[in-house]
Amino acid sequence: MTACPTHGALLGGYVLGSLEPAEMDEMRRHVADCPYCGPEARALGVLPTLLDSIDLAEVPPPTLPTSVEEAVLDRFTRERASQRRPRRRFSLRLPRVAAAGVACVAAVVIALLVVGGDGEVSHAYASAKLAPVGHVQKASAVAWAEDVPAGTRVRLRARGLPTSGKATYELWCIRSDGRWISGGTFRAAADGRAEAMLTAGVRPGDYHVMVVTRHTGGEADHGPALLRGALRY
Amino acid sequence: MAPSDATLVERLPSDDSGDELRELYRRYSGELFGFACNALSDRELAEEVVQDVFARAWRHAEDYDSKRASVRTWLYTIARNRIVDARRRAAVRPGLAPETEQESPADVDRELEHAVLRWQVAAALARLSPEHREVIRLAHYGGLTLREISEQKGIPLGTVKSRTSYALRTLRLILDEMEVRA
Repeated sequence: MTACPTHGALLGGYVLGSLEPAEMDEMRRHVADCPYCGPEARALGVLPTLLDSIDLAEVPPPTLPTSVEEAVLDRFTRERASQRRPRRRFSLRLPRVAAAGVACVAAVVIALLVVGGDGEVSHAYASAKLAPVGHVQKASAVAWAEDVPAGTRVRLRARGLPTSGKATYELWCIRSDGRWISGGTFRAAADGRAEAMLTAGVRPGDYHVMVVTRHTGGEADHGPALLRGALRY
Repeated sequence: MAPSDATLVERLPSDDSGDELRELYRRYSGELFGFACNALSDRELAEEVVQDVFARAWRHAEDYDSKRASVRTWLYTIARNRIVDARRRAAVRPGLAPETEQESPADVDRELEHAVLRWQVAAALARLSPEHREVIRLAHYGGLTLREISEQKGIPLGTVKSRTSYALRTLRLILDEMEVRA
């Protein structure tokens, strides 16, 4: 919409009825004939009624706490996990040869999982691939969760983490009730890679999401999320 | 390029990572929450409604038909039904809701439309620059003329006039983006 070169600046005051009486009269006459101001006055003319529909105290509108997003995603992850379970029955109906093949492949996969690539023995009950959620687009991480007497020991491998300012990062396990349980903090190397062994006070099934944040120093509060991933049990 | 709303909903049934759901949530949860807050006047109930809306969205994503309605309209329809349910539940709990006459479905729809509109106008005003919001506040809500605003704020009258016009044009554009058809 092109603004009127002579009266465009008066249009806002005219629509709100906030010009001086003589200017209002002049604009009334002008708007009736002007090919720019006529249509624009009609487009803007609905605004006073819309503005009347609210109280200025309603600005800005209320915002949702982040715990609701976590609760929604957690509910989603749990439902998806429960939907996946019945598929196991299918393998029982496979012909024997196919079942034997599947068993061989499964044995190899289990062997790879139990003995990690670097030869370390692992008893992970779940794993998670963490993808970027904030402005850190190139970061990623993989986490393995193992049941230990103190809770859950998480082995985390991350890369692409920002290294400016010697940032400290924190791993969180988000419980089904929306509470964030810290697994502890870690730092990244100069190339943005990090390898950490952390322990969080959670048990298998208590939580379904892991998040890496920038460590803020607060005991209860957490910084902005950088990486996030759903757990695969 | 970011996927369209309809694409996100189409991908929901096969979304195991939660990425599509999270994106949809980020696009719409704020306005649905504002809508539910206005309609229910209760933040906790409004939070429950938002959770329910997205739960229904992923469970019934296969029912969504982009030819019949936009994703936004579809989500608002779900939210509207959740709000009506929440009100019914509140109404049967003694002492939690004031006794009111039974509203007709048309009354409920009108009221909910008004709640959406209020959230949209409040959100649009919040997106204006502080200077633009201030001239609207003083002129429309404060009833001052542009000359009085100029004197009160010590800003040249010409600046106040053009600022007011730009403020309203920007507000109109934001409301158009939000599909406000008033």
